[in-house]
Amino acid sequence: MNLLASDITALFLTLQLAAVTTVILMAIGAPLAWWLSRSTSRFASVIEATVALPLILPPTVIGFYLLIAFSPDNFLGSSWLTLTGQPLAFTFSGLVVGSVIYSLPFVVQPLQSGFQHFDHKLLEAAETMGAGTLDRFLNLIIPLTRRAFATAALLGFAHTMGEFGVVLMIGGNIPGETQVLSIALYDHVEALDYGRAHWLAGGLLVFSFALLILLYGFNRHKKSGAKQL
Amino acid sequence: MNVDKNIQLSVEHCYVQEGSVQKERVRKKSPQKANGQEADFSLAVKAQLPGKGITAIYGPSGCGKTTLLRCIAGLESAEHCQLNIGGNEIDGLPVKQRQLGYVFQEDRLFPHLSVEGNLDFAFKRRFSDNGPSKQQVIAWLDIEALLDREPDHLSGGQKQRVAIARALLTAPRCLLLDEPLAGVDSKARNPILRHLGTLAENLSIPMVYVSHNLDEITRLADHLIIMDQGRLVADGPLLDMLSRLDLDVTRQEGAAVVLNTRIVGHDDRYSLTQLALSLDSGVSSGSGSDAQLSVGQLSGEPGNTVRVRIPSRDVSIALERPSQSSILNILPGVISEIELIDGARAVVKTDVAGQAILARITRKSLEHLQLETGKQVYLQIKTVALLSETLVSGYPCIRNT
Amino acid sequence: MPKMWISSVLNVGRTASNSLGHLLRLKLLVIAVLFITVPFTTVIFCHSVLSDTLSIATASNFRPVLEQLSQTFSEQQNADRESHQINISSASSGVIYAQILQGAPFQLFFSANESYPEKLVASGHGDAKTLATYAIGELVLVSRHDATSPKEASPKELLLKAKRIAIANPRTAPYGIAAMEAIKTLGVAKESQSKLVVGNNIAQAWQFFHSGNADVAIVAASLAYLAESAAVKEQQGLDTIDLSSFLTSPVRQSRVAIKPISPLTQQFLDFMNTPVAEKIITDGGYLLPIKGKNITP
Repeated sequence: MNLLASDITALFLTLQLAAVTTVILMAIGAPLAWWLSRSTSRFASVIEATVALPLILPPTVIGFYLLIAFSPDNFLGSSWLTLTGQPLAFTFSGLVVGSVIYSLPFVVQPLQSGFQHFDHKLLEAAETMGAGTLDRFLNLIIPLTRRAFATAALLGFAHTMGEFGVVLMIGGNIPGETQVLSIALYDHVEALDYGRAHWLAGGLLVFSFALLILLYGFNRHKKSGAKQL
Repeated sequence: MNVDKNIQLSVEHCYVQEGSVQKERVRKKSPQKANGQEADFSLAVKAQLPGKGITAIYGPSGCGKTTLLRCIAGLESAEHCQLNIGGNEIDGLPVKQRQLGYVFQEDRLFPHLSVEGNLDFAFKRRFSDNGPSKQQVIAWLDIEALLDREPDHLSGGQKQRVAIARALLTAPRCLLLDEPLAGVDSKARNPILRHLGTLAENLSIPMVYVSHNLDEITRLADHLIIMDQGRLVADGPLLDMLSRLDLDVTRQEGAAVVLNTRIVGHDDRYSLTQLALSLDSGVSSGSGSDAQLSVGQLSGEPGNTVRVRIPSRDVSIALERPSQSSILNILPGVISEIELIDGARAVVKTDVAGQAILARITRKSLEHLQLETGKQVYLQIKTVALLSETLVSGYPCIRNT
Repeated sequence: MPKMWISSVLNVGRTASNSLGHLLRLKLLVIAVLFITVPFTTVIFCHSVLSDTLSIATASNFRPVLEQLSQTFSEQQNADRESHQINISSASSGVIYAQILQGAPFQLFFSANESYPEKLVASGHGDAKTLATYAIGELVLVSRHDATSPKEASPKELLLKAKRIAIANPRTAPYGIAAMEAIKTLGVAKESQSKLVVGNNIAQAWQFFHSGNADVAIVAASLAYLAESAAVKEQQGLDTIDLSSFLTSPVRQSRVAIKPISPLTQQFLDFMNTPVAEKIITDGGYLLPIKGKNITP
């Protein structure tokens, strides 16, 4: 097996997984966070707690339940199989589902916090000026909470990059399909191939560090500039 | 008054939206609970507003003025709401389609956009091309120098001027203003009032101005709606309303009448200008020539109309024309109505050349002078506040004589 | 705690939102609980160190059998000796090998192949006298039978028909290597390549199959035997087919003791040679190496 080639495959697969997951998370997370930031119902607390669960649950718990849910014997697995003709377990789609669940709090919480600090009176003002829902979202909410959006996207991306436990449980270690960087790294370590392991581990470390520098730098810059959320 | 252009307004039983900014205010300020529902606000207003000029909605805090304005804008919903502006039924429309400009108490400028960005936000979404141009609005509100600034770096008065400009740039059918001076410090109020006066002269659309400040209203409005506890108390032209003794506005400490006067001449020697209360130019009947006020010299030409304000507490009554008095303005009049305020004070309404002037005097004086309806009296007027020189170009100024 | 750290990232530049505040509080609570419980666990740990303890590392496939062995051993010992404790850790053989090289505190290592124990002897960690093959593993193909896959289907047919084939990681698990060899011998390597789902060890491969996500698995017979009784297997429609004939050599599982050897370790090794222990191993689905008795046909 050409390890170098498989590592590059794993790298691109991981980036692809993180990108797809982040896009989906922003699409799901923004309305969810908006609702959570505005709702006063008790039900919202339950949803909030559900969203936050991956923060404290071991990834293996999520992975274990997902593996069961993905089984064609169960509702999720069978519906997906009927809809797409593909099973969820051991596929890229399955990893996306797992990553979305696993990284959801990292996207929802910064957004929710940003939305909570957003001045809703501005929306009323825009409404009187003829701005519709999408118009207000694109031209007021996003620019005024762009720090929250950037934080959410970066954290969602970085957290998905570093995902291991869930993928280990539902991935099946298939090169090009489910063998992400962290799994490839684990594989190298288990096979005592420390040279390759160092490359991957070091690369992940530098990448994660760079992402966080970017995040903190962005926040610091915005803090010193105009008042933004 | 063109009936087609009027605003027909009928609002009953307003629902304040769940989670709305207004709801908390209503809860705090409305002691009565309509139908046992806390969120509802009992509101019953039926009125016809002129289609031009400024209509003021006046009333104490919590009377429902702001809620009424929000109902008009569609920001709150009401059980029965009929709203017709210049022939357009707008009551069923969502907020964004009502085509109304709204200036909030707080400026609500978008902090991520510059002043010009805020103006462009409105201008890009304008309801029609019939509205004023950007240059016009910028000139009227004198905000040219602020265009590149960030809203956070503006003073309260500057912010509100930008907010007014922004609302105008959407080319609304009607401009709604909710106490725009509430958050502005007293020094900055006069310039804004002047700007609003300029707008009233230049705009073809009506403006609805909510305020609990009678002073602002007398200086701006043409038409007045008085509200209390969600009900309409009275409505009519401002000048009539300010002299109606059945209304609370005439009994207040700050009560004042507004008179329309005409410049008849200038006295260069003493730097004074004569104003006639009778508006029929050219005709100077016996009593009409008597009914003149002297104020500090104005720039207007004879014949120009000038609006002045006379506070009730600055008017005293004499049975004979005082010959030895420092008071310059002494007008003859006939008592038309007398109303007791309380055990100690009374308001006397006097007809002077067809216009009403109120005098607040003590009950003791009332009885001592044996004042009664139909009696001929002389009014000594201590201060005349100039409100506007409506037909003279340039900004109106305020002077006392 | 990495999560604590992420949480503080979330708070950058703004006051903590309610939810984050709750989370932080929750985490502080968890830390507090840890601080309270750590001394107790330390006490228990110290106790176990002071009394006689045997730490055994085993390849995943042998774990169920080893648990029975240690239980029987303990029952025998406790009759005439003071109490001791046996800790069993399981992973793939390669991982355990690496851990022992790094100084992991195991006294006995039951590998799923012969080479790792031999390497440990060579590196000086393992005791050469204790190196021995303790079991010969059977490789089986497990499948579910239904209308479309009749019970009589051959391994080749099953593998060709399967959508997902679960195996242990061939890079680290001897049974994974064996599974790959069987697949090659069957001549379906190419067709199977894209269908392989690789468990971290033999236990995870079995889990992939057991949860219904893989339709066939190539695992150690021991796992398949122990996980389901014959009746249950029949009820669930599970089939096991022996793949030993497709391997050039059987999976020979060796063990080695790590130096220094304690009396308890020696006692356990002695116990392994008793008929009772050998019966447990054969009952677990393994064959015994040729030692003059229990010779397999």
